[in-house]
Amino acid sequence: MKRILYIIGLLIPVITFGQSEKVFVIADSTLAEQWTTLGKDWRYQKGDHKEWADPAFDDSSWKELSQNNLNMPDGKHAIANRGEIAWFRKHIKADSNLNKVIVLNILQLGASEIYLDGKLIHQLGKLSSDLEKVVSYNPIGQLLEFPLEKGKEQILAVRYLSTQYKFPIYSPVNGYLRLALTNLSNTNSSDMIKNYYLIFNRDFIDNYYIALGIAILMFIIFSSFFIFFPNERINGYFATAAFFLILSDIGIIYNQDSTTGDPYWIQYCADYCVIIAFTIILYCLYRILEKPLDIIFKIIAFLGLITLVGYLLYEPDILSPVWVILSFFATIRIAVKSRHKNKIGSMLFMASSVLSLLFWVIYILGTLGLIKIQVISYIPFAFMVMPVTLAIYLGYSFGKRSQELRLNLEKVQKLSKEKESILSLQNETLETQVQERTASLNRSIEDLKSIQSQLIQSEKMASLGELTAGIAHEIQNPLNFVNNFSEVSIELIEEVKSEKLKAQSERDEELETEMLEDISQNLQKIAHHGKRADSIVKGMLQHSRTSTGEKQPTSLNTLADEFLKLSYHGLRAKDKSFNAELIANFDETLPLVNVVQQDIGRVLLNLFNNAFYAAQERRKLEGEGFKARIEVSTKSISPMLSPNSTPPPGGGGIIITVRDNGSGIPDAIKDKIMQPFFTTKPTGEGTGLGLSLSYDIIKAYGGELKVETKDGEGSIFSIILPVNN
Amino acid sequence: MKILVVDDEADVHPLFIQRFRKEIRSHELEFNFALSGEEALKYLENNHSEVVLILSDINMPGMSGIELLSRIRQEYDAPPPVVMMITAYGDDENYQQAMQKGANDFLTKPLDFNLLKEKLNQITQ
Repeated sequence: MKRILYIIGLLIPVITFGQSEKVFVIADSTLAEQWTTLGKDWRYQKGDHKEWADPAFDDSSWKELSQNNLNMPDGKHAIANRGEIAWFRKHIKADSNLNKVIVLNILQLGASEIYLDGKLIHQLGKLSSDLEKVVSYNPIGQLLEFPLEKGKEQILAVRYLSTQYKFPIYSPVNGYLRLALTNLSNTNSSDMIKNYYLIFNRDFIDNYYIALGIAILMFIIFSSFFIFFPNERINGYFATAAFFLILSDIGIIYNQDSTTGDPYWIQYCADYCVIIAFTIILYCLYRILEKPLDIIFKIIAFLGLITLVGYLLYEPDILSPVWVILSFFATIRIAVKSRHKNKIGSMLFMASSVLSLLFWVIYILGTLGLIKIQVISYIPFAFMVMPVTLAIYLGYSFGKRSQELRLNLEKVQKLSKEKESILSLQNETLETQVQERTASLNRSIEDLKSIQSQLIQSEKMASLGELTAGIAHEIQNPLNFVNNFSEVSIELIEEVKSEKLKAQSERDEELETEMLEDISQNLQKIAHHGKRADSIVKGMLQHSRTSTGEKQPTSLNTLADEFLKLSYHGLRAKDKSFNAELIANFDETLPLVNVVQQDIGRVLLNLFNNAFYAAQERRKLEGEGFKARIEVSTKSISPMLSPNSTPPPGGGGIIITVRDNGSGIPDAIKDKIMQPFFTTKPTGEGTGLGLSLSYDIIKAYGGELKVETKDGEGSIFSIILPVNN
Repeated sequence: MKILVVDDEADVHPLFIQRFRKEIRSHELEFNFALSGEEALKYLENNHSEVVLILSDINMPGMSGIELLSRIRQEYDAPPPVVMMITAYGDDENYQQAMQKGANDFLTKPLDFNLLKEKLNQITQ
């Protein structure tokens, strides 16, 4: 960036005085308002000779030149080329009335010695034919003493060595040397024209320090953002851009303060860092404005890359602003494109681009002398406008996002509170509902329990009801016998009595004995049938009793026989036409089993009733020709003798089998028949509890109730009871 | 007169023997007993010509009295034996059924032996 200043310094409209006498006369009025370049009436000679400083030396054979840059009189060709030495001489005279102190300013690329009337007044750098020993020095911004003698014509001689060799060969400026004068009071003025070099140079550097501070601050802030929240990558990119700006600023400031010459690579890097920074910034803008990296971006990035090479071909100080200006146009383009999508961002970036462009336009116009405004010292700020805008936007979006987050958080909190209250309300409702339901369920359970007991009772009564007729018949029969036998016995006794009254000869002893035997036999019969009726009534009572009876040794043969008949007659009482063959195969060796008679009786009754019902059903299907057959058998089993049957726990047991040739049970419902309330009977005829209760009773005895059946052919129900009790 | 009594109750046998002791002694009546309809038919196979009267219970396991009656009416019509049905259930349905199947008479349990004797006398006269 420093070099551009030199170039501008060579171009700026600093007034050049030209006199016809070829002797530059300096009066108070000459330098009153501005710096004056000593740009006319010089003579020059390439080469080096100590005598050339001597005022007595005749330089009339030297070539003349009038040019601000003494080293390039025609603007194209240098006098002193890379590392060469040339001498310049000029006649100068201070007016005898001169009161002001005159100061000299020299802008040069290289090293020089300034002689006034053969006396060395300034040694700027070090000249030598050995380039290794040459020290470049540029006193820009410095005020040099210029001790003119009033009223005397003096010879100003400059011995100059170009250090252009330190720069690439293509540099448009091939070594330069410019001398300017003004009076000392001007240098203290804040007037731009009067104090041009000093002010702009100081401001320029000061401004670069400020820009550097801003860049460092941005770098710290955004790299922190990125480090602590890596998800937001744009902060990282921006911090990188800020880093390159820092590098660039440092490079420029370093160069600016250096007076010993220009390390070209530092300048090159500083300028190129600007391009890198702005490429990254442009990338950030594309991301922020959510634009795909289009061809324009690629072209600009590519041009930036080319600039890397271009620096070796042309003046970097010119290339980088040109490139940056291009990037502003690209920014304006995407900002306009996304003006609906991201209003704030678009406005900000557009404004900042326009502002920057405006600056460069003013700068160029000023440089070309078309307007009288010099903005060069604000270049550091011009380069900072876009990064600062981006930082502002990032801050804005960060703030906005935080705000949104806070609002969302509030919304969520509010919502969760609402949900919580709703939830607690629902919980309460649920609780009361559950309590209500539980209460009603408890009631239902109570109701069910009572209904269950009622059902069990009614099931008993139902099976009893079915038996009433059978029981009546069963009681009627023994009663008939009791009546008949007692009647006949009374008659027999009368006959025996009358026989006794007969004479001995007429008495039939044999008949008498026979009748007496009959009487005795009849009495036994009466007793037998009396007991029979008694046991039936007892059985009936037991059956209907709700309370559990006591276990007593019971002959299952007798029990089975009784209930078979009861069941049969019960059915017959309802269906007179029904008939069945009853077969009893009782194991006479069956031991007495300790059971509650009414329990086992109920089971048997159920099985018999079912068997008869099934037989009756089949008869309905097949007609009168069907011979119903119900078979009951008992058998002692022991685990050793009957390995195939399920051994009752604890050893031996008995098995009661009820076999019928009825309708059988379809496979589909076979698994259900033991379930409570399952019935195939028409509604109202069966409770569906018979087999279920039977199953429970047998289970309670530790036994088993099994069924084998074939649909349409009959069923075999087996009760297996252990006898270890 | 040969009478066949069909009843599943075995004690009917001694009862009849004692009730008709005099008639048996004087050989006026001769009783045979069967415990089921099937047994009765088996007996009739060999002795149907001798049997004049059949007294049958209706409610019996296996073949019922009504069935026996209809079998007798089908198989033995020359000369048709007199068949009297006895039942504990003296209801109308039983009576109608029995009479329809060709019963000569219908008696209810408990048996009134005097009435039975009168009816037997009527038959023998």
